[in-house]
Amino acid sequence: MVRGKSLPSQRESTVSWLIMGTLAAIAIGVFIRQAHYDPTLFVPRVLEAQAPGDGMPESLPSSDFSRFVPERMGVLSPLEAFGPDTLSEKINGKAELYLSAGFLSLHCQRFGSLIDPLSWMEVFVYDMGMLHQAFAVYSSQKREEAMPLDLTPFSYKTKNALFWVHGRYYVEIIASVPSEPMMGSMLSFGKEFVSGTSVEEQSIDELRLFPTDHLEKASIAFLISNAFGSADLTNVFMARYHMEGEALTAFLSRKEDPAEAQRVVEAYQAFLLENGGTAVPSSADLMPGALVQILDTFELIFRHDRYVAGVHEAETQKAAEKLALMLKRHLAEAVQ
Amino acid sequence: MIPSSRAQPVTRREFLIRSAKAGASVAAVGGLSLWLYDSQALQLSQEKARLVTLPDFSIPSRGGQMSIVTGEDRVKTVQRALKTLGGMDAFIRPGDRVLLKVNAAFATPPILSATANPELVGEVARLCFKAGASSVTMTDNPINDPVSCFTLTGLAQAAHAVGAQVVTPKESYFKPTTLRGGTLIKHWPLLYKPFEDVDKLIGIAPVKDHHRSGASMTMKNWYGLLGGRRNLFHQDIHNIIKELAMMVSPTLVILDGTVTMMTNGPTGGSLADLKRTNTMIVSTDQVAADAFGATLLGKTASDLPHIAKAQAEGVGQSDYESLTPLRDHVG
Repeated sequence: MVRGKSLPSQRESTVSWLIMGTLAAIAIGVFIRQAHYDPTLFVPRVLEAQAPGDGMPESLPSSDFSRFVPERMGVLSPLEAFGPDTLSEKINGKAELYLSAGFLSLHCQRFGSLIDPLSWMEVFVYDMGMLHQAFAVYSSQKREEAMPLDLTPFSYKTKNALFWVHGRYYVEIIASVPSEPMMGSMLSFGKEFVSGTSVEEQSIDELRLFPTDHLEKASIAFLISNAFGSADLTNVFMARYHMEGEALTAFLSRKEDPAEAQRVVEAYQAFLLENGGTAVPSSADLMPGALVQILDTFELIFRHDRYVAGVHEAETQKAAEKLALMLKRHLAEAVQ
Repeated sequence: MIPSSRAQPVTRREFLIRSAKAGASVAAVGGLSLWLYDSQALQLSQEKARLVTLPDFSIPSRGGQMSIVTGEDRVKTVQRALKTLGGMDAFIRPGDRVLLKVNAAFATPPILSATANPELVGEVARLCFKAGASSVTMTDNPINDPVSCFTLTGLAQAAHAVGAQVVTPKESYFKPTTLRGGTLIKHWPLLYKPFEDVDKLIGIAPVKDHHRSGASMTMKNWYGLLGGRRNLFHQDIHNIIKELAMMVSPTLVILDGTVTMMTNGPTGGSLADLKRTNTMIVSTDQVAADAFGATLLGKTASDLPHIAKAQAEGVGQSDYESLTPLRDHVG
């Protein structure tokens, strides 16, 4: 016997209509909101960053930076805070540099000399979420006249300013005048900040993968995206070498696995060939890899395990191959 | 009316179904209305009626003129540059009300050269008064807090020293503008109040590297006239600079290349970012001025797409040599 289809009760019908109505309202709401989205909220995140707590970086004071300031300085302005959507209100066109590197927040504050009213300094603390990302913005802006400091492993000064990386933070202090007293105040602030701000990461493992012979140590930089104009070259460390009478650049990038590294090697080779490069037979044992001559320079790229490595803009094939072999041997020893 | 004898009895279930269908119909119509409803329609039509455009402040009879003076002292180089063009009197008439659009973008000290130099701005204001200007006002809608920007850069003190006024932006000073032929500047808030009753406009900007546009010079300086969420325009930086140049026709532009910010612009921060290039450019043609300014940055006009774009719109001439610039040096 076929049992007749039972009719829903009034309560069931009412509940069903309520649910349908709610879903329709949500759908309409989503449709309206998606048509008015704010593109500035969609910032690329290359590396997964830690989120700051309540907009204030962890380990930083909740009030201001005055506890780091030497006695001869006074507070000139309250602490200002900026996020990804407001960063350009502070640094305008330079915001993209930070946003593309994983920027989370900026806190800044001015302090003035109690002795000389024309002497003041502004402190900028960028929370970049991770040490690598802080190092990326630090290294990409490094000044040619940089004088090394021992404040942290990545720190330098110029005549009127200090720049350093402390864990996830990239910090700048800029003075209104270049003077000995101001430099002393800035250094004092820097030491207090470093000792008073706990961070998890302090060293970058990839740096030891570069051979030290002929290396210009201060030149090491980290490019998060679009290294050498190629969209496939991401999270690349580069370092300048002086050998065979020329300056050339070595680079390396750690990938998820050897297959991904191989894909990147092939993609970069294709990129070079598409842009007018010519494949050149290499006399060095760097397989799997490729040597390409382009615009009177040589580009060499190879894979070792899950690393993509190579030499950028070498003037001669000889120098490119020599540096690449050095890099490959060093990589082999370091990643054993 | 249906006779009661022929009326079909309606069950409770049928009544509920019909009611639900009617409700769904009403909800659908309501939802559609909500979707099509434009809450800003009335506001936009009112704004359209209030749209403003900037007058043309150029002096057509002067045509395209340019002077390039080298030297370390800004006061001397700007004096000489103006003199070679016929003096400030050639541009400012007695009784003129002059507006100086300075670059006061950041609350940074003058030594960083991230903003217009106060000594230069003070001298230009003084020369305007000397030529008979009845008032000289300077303005900008800075990136940072306006009061801090004008005071920490020294621009407020420079203005005060020569009797010029500083107008810092207030919300009521902005009015919507639409650039004819533009695609970006549409119903966009413009810092308009300082332009009311103004006869002449002079733009004063330093030569700077810029992370997005490659350079920040006289055309980019007009960015400080925009309000609202203008940072969105950084995604299309060359076109917004072109449109700004189309929007503003100044009497003169003064491009200060005494010290050039070569790297890490537009904020810089370190003296190591700067290079002494000892050059002052005064021109009636903002495109020509910027094309020359590019050379101070070690670039060419073709490296900066907004220059060619502005020229294509007829704003000016990127081949600055065609203006036969007057060159001089002051020791």
